[in-house]
Amino acid sequence: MSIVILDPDGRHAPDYPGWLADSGRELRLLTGRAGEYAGFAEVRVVPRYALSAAVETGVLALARGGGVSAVVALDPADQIRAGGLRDFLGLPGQGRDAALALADSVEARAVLARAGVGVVRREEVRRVADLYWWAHQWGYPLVVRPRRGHAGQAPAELADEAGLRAFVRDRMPADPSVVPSLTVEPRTDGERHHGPGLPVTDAALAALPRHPGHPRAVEAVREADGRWLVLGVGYRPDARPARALVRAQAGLAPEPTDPDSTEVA
Amino acid sequence: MTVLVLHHRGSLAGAPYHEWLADYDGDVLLIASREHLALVAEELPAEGVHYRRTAAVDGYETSGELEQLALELAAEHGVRHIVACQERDLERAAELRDVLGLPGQRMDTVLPFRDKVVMKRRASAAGLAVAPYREVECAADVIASAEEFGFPLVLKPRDSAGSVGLRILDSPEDLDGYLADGFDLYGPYQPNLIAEAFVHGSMCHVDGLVVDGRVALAWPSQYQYTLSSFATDTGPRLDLTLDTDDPLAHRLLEFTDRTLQALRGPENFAFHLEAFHTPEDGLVLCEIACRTGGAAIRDIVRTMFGVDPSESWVRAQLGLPLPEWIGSEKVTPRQMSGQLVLMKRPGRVVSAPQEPPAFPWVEKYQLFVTPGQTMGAAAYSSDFLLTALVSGRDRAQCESRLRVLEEWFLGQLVLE
Repeated sequence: MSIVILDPDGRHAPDYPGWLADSGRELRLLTGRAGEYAGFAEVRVVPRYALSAAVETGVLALARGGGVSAVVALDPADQIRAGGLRDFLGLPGQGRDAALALADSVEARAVLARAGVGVVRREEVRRVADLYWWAHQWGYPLVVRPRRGHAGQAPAELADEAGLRAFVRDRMPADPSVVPSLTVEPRTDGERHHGPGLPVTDAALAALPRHPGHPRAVEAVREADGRWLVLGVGYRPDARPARALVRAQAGLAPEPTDPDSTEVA
Repeated sequence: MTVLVLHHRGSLAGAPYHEWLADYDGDVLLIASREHLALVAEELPAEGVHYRRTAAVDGYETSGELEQLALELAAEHGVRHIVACQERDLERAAELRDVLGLPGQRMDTVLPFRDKVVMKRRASAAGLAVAPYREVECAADVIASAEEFGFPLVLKPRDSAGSVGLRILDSPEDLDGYLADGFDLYGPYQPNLIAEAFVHGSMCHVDGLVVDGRVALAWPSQYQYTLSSFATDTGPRLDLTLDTDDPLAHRLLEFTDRTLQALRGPENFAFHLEAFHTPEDGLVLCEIACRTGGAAIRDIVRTMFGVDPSESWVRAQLGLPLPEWIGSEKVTPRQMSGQLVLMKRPGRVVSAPQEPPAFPWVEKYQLFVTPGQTMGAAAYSSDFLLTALVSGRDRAQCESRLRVLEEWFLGQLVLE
């Protein structure tokens, strides 16, 4: 049996063998960056790691070869694919749906709304006309932001219809066969709160899936009428020591000094 | 009292909105796709003849020019209705109507027909059989779908149309090839894919019209071929209406009624339902669109019932009168129909009969190539070499006539 580790840029590769030394498992690394990696039973370098299904087929090949006891993946971009693999292989830990709830703001909003947790207005943008429609519903200014936090896509504020048109021209995909990964919301300027401690953020954390090794962040905003609403939730691996997250995802017991690996204070 | 028509793709000559709306007491404006007009070798109609204003926009689907122009025209001309008959215009038309406060279809009655997940959920909740499916977010979803549903495995966009983006994986080797070379789910865009179990059986379709919330006319047909085989199928693709005494016809009509009730469409619309008739004699919903069917289905309905479903749909939206018999009671076809489709196939066209033969039962004949043209394999499901429509008293006669027509055409077609 092996522990499979997904690490796109190999940033923690020198540390995994030490962190997981007491697991008694062989460690197998899949990474997008070639290099010298010591302490692994096997290293697979996957070309076009971020875009390729070879990560998944590689893990499944390892599972067929000798069994996999855990999939460890810290990078936010790997959460859904790692969850899908755990589901498929019947492994413990965060599955695909749980990962989706923390990665996709529309999914998160749906989970929280179903649980009766107050959330800010935010809707998906699938086409140009959606922006006009939400501008009609909410007025300007609007904020358009990445739905899944893709790197390099900063939020955009649409101050008026001219701003909307400029956004469409510059930022919406021209290819009609693709669906933009965007959301739109009215701009909110109220006081912000991060983490638990408010009834609404506590309720959000209670409603969201909770799995060891997957720290969750929550942010709330105070509306003009004084209500606190959840502004966003997500997976925040940088909020906890990587060692603790890796051990938790591998199914190892936390060390006495390890903080709770599921919540962000 | 102005009407704004959005025309995405296909021939404008074949969709004469100005004729359909000739008795409308107001101006008609037209926005069309420059790219798609060029594809059908048509010019934008001059302003002031049939249409008060006309405009062709670049990047029709995504540039935002259409929305901007529609709002400008609405402000300038006092638009009271937006007409949009093509699948990928339905959402934007619904949203523009809402923005402008116009009557007609809204998003809540578009989505169940455009989003296959919503469609399946609603149909399934109403007790209708649908193909089992998974929403695909990652490669493991595709692999898990193959394990759960087996092969062939169907992959298709959640909201596409006309078999665009449809992929069928026939074997584990196909799956491996797809994951190695065709998989493109990760990246800056939203996954928009479902994996679906392949349903064995013949594909039937039911085409009709809803007026004032009631099914005014509908009739089933049965494809005699597999829709997804368009790229490799160079044989005759026949589509035949079912006979009035065929029990399957009546089961399909009842299935359609239940589907329409489950999905809850707008007050007035044309529809095109596709259902599998399985070897176990079950009916399984494939999908349903709230628009006229593609290819020659509009002509099939016209041949059967004597009315153009698209014209009737447009007129009903605007409250214009329809033939008196529409809506008074469910009607049966006055005659039956059959369609012959030949897909493009590799070769250079030396000669092909441009005109139909002198058979009185040929209702429509459309050749899509000219001598000297070099064809490749069909690139999409409506990449036709020939479509032809015949009428007849029943299915057997229609099929027999289609075979005669096919033999006549292939006898004169010369490729090199």
